[in-house]
Amino acid sequence: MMYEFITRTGKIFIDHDKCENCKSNICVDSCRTYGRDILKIDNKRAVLAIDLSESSRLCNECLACEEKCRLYGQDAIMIQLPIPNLVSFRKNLENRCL
Amino acid sequence: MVKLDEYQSKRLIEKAGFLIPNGYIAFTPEDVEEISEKIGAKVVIKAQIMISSRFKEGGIIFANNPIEAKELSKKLFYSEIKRQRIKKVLVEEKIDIDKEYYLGIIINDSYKIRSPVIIFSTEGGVDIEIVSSRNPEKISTMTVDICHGFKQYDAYNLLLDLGIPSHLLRSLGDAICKLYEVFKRYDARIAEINPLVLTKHGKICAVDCRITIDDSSLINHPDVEYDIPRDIDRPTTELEKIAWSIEENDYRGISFFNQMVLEITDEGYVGYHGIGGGGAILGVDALNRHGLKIADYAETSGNPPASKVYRLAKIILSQPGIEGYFLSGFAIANQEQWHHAFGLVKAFREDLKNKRGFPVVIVIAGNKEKESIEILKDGLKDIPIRLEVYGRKHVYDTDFIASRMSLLIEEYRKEIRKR
Repeated sequence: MMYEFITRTGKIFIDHDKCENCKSNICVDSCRTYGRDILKIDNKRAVLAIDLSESSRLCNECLACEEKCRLYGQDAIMIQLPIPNLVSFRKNLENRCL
Repeated sequence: MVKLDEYQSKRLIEKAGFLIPNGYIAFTPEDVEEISEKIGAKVVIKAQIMISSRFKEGGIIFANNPIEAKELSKKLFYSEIKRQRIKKVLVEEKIDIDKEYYLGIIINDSYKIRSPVIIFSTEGGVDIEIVSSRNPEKISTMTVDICHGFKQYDAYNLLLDLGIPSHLLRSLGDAICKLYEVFKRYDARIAEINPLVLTKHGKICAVDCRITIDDSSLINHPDVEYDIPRDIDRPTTELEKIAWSIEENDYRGISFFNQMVLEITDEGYVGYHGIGGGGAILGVDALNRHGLKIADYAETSGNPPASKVYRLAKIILSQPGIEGYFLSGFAIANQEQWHHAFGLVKAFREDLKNKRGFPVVIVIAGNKEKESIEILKDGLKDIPIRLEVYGRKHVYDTDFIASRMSLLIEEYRKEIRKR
């Protein structure tokens, strides 16, 4: 099951199926070290330790949970940070090169 | 700073009561014809580009009637002057000129002055720098005491210094005071009317006008139109607009991106990312000394979140033709540098995983430096790039770092040639 919440400029997805196999809880530790300590483990799954409506205000988008989970956890976190028009800009460049 | 086009600047001074030639903006030759008909007189067609000496460069043409205006404007549209493409022109009635003057206000940044300086010259229509070198006696200047303000009699004194005839004192004095009001109201850094003309009918008219506004103040001026609040002497590029979109509504730290080369056709260009302005320039100098050039000047500082660093890095990497990425943190920063590290790791993992051998040199020093270097090295160890990360030991060693960048690029070129 995919758990998700918004940040100020993006969205964080946590794959709870992967979380179940995790023994490190590295996302919580990394959020405490680099972020705002807004994650907790609930029934073996990483979830917000704050109200869902507060996530965009409190998450500082340090990106540490994603990177540390990839290295030391189960690679269960994905952070989407859209950049408006960059994808179309790159596609146009590719087409021009072709 | 935001440089406004002539027509935008004229809108601001018109609101302040300046007489400006009757005119409208046109985007096609057909628009030019229609506007010329509406004006019903001889017209001037002026390319709306940000260069000086537009007339000399062919950016200003005169037409006697609407058909001629349409035909002549066809040569202007989508032509280029000093690498700027003409996409819009200002069509205005041609003014019968009796005498041309120059009127300008600038902020003198010198720590001894830090005030607006009013400049008036009896020789208008040419660059003020040329008048200054050839006929300095034709220029009069006055530094404004901002506590005292600028009064009508100050304007008269400025004009009397140049021997302006008494019957023109009032109208020219009014013009100076009005421009000063516009300058103040819009938090301008530069406001210039060149030429300010005396028409054959005895009126004072602003024929050309340029205003540059302090970008920090734009939030107070919703009536000012601009693409992005950056000091750029050319139309904004698509990438610069994208970069501004990530900065526009995110006050956390700063990110800045300026494309130095619009199309890379030569070797030796590096995607450039500085941390902190002064130190970053040292890095540029060092790269230049080693035969490398920067494709862009980008910067993140003021403790930006990793998400902002990530986005800026992706924008820098979107420039086709760059042969390396240089994070130039030639300063001991007090911000936690690991936010830079996480942002870069995410961007490089996404964009460089298929760019085998791509050179990346990172200098990152200051608070949480050791941890940041570890994050970078651990996070990128499985990405097949030429990565070198340096800390405070090399923070003053710009030449060594630039030589490493140069060497890695040389190796990368050889590798590409072999493939």
